[in-house]
Formats: sequence, structure tokens, C-alpha cells
Amino acid sequence: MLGNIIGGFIVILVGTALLPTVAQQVGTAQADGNVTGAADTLVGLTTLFFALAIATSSIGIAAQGLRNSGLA
Amino acid sequence: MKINFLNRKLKEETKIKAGSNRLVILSFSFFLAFFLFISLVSAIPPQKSIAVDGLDVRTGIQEYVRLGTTQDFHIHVFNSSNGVPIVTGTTCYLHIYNSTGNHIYDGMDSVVSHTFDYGFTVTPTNLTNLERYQYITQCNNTFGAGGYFSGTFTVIPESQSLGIGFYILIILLAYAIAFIGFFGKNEIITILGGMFMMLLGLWLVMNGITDYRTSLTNTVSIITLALGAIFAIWGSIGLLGDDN
Repeated sequence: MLGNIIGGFIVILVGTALLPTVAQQVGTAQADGNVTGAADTLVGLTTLFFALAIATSSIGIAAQGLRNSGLA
Repeated sequence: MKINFLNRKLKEETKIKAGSNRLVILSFSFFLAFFLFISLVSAIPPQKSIAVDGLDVRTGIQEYVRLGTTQDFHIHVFNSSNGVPIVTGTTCYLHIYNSTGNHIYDGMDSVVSHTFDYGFTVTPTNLTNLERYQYITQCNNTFGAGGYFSGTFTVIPESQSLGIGFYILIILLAYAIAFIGFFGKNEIITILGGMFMMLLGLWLVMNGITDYRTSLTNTVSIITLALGAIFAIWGSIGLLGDDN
């Protein structure tokens, strides 16, 4: 349980620290015009997936904590 | 007591079976992806004119040319009937096309240098991309005889600052972390590995592999990015449902 909480916090810290970089690089990659069509759409969605993974991890950690304390 | 033991054993067996099924599906997907990477096209060999009483044109254009360098391409012209070098009364042309067929250079020379050379200077502004270029040289003289020579050359990176070994290592590392987390059922490692793969995919989209940015490197980048997203989301959902 403690390992998961520490790991979860590492994920959140690393994720939130890298999120602006990811968003910026996605913008640069799209402006570059090297990828087009469906691949370009996928590149554009990277920030969303990245943020979604951080958000879901945070919820998971919170849910685990609540479950273990008997509140959920 | 015995029923509980049997139930636990059954659950473990089901888990192992599901894990091995997942492994088979993923392995099959990777094999399929690698088969798709096999290129079915290859470079056309050089071609030359075959006129008996024409001009025999030969070039010293290398197969590989470094990016950002000025290239001096030379042509020698011979009489195809007797092999004698021709140094007067002949005009030679060099045309270069990029991989999409766009005309990127054309030059003309009618005066030889270094005794036999019809020369063309191609600057770095002409060869800006790491790709295969097609060239055609043709010469004709005032007596109505002519000849040509055509072929391809590839522009390669200026310097190998980051060798292919570095790229292989970093790609393998990202995949290894994510796969170990995924198959080892460690959600945190899976998420971190997935995020690493997403960043790597994004970086490869922009920079390519050893400066090469082709449809192949784009495919590898997009697959890495997509797998990274899947691993990260899968891992975080697993964390959500973890009862430990």
C-alpha cells in the first residue's frame, strides 16, 4: 500500500513536471508538418493521454487510500 | 478448506491463461508491425545511353553524400565508337530531382577543367533533406552526337553525433520498462514506462532516428507514442481497481 502511494506520487510529480514540455513539443511537432492525417491527430492527442494517465493515477491513489481506511 | 484451495488454484490458472493470451496477441501485433516495415522497393541501378556512334558519359558521383557539404560533381565524356575522351565542342548538363520528383538543380558546362572534367558545383542549399536523389547527366556535341548517364545518390547525416546505438538503446529501454511493468503487473512502472514511451515517440516524430525522418521513422514514432498512451492509461486504470 505504502509502495503504491509513493509510486503514485512519483507518477504525479514526474507527470505534472513533464506535462508543459509535452504540450509544447506536441505543438512544435504539429507545426513542423512532418506527420499528417491520422498520425497528426494522434500526436495532437498525446497531451490528453498524458494528462489522463496522471489524473487517473491520482484518482486511483485517492481511492486506494479511502478504501483502506474503510471510507469507500 | 479444500474448496477454497481449489478456487484459488482455478483463479491463478485463469490469471496465467489470460496473461499468456495477452502475450500472444501482443507478440502477434509486433510481428505484424515488423513485417509491415519490410521495404518492397529498392534503388534503380544506374542507366546509360547505348548509342554506338554517340557519346559515352561517365560520372564520379558517389552513392552517399554528406548533408551540408558542397559537392563538385564531374563528368567525363568519351566517343562511344572508339573510346577517345572528348574535351571540346561538347555541352554537358546535370539535373537533380528529389524523392518526390521536384527539380532541385540544373547546371550546364561546356568548358572542361582538369583536362577532362565537365564540372558542376552543387551547394548545401540544393541538397537540404536526408533522402535519395535522382540525377541525370547528358552531353551532346555540335555534330549531333549525344549520350546520358542517370542514377541515384543518398544524402546522409552531416555527422554521427548520436549513433544508431544510442537510439536502439533508448528505444529498447523505454519498451523494456513499459513491458516489464505491464507483464509484471506493476501499475506504477507501467505508467512511468508508458509516459517515457510517449515522450520518446514525440521526440522521434520531431527528430527522426539518426537524423533520418522518413515514413518508417514516423511509423515507429507513432507506434511508440500510441503504445505508451495505452500502457499509461492501462496502468492507471489498473491502479484504480487495485485492492492491495
